[in-house]
Amino acid sequence: MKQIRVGVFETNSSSTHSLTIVSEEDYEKWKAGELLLDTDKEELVPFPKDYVKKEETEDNNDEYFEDGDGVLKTYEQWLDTEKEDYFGKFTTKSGDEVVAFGKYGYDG
Amino acid sequence: MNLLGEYTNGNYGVKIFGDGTKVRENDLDNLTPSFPENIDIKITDYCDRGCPFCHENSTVKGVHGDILNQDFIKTLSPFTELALGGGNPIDHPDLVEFLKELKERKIIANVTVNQKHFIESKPFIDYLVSEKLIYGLGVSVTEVTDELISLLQENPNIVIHVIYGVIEESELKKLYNKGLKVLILGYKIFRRGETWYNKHDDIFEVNSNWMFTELPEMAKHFRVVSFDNLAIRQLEVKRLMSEKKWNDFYMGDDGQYTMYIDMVKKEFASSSTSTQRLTVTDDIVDMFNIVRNQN
Repeated sequence: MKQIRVGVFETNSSSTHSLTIVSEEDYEKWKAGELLLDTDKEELVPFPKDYVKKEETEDNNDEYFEDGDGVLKTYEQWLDTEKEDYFGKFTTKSGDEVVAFGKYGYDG
Repeated sequence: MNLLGEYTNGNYGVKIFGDGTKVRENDLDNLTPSFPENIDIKITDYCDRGCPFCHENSTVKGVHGDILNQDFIKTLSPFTELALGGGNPIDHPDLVEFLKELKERKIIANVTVNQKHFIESKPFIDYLVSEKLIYGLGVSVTEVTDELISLLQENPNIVIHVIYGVIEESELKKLYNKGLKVLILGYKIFRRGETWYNKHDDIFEVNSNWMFTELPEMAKHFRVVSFDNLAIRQLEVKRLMSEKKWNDFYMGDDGQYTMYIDMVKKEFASSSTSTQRLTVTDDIVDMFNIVRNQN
């Protein structure tokens, strides 16, 4: 059995229950390579102008961009991370598809 | 995401990470703890805010708890989380010494303050964070300003506390799309909270109806949206997800993995609104077993 509380410490009297949520539209854009995941801020963001792709680098390093605020990852790079992932989808009252996702694991 | 700690509690393992993410896991069909994972601790009844909906009835006549001489602290397991509150916890004169003792014992201390105290005491709070004396910081918010938003954005482990039925649509929307985390607390019709509710049920109705409808949309505008158990019931959060997702997400009833201790009155219970209270003993496991049996 497994239970996960995402991204918050306990600051209250009763169990805290959390969700990390993005719109399905953005999630699909990320999967299609149109957005990047900022793994520090846990937000989907546009490609920076000076983003360097793997085939454009001399040493053929993994495709990544580091801007000092955190590592930006494509969907494929995120999947490659050696951590477990979780995923959920639901529909809002207005009909929007919303996605909750994340990874957890040990970096050290 | 760095691992803060890993431990065994009863029949399952727990991992807790630097952003507060917590994972409970075993190969069984149940997760049964031996000691509390989280304890809500009231360390003072002193507060100069006089919030009309305060369910703790805290005032400037409130007294501080004797936080340096309670033996149950020595029986806490490493990486237990403590949610320290009041009253205004940062007004307690022994707070730093208490937090240093907790840090030595590898206890994860989190503190919740009102937005006014947060702004006024920002340098002190920054010191507590930089010394790793506290990890999570809850900030109770009712009125949103640009200055407040800017300060809230400085620390990724801040979670904004808003109360269902009290926070107004116009205020909450000012916090949208700022990369913030929010904790929605249920409304406690208890002590001053009952008085406010009886006088302002029309305001409560407007605010609560809006949030109930807005909730699925609202969730998209924050990095994390979280709830206490009362808010889960009042907002019917279960409507937002599948049964499987609910089972992964729901972290337990009050008293199942958590408990409450009032260090001012030296009482313990399953939660701060429980009226079934007993005198604090010197052993956290004994107290937790009593709370679990009450449930």
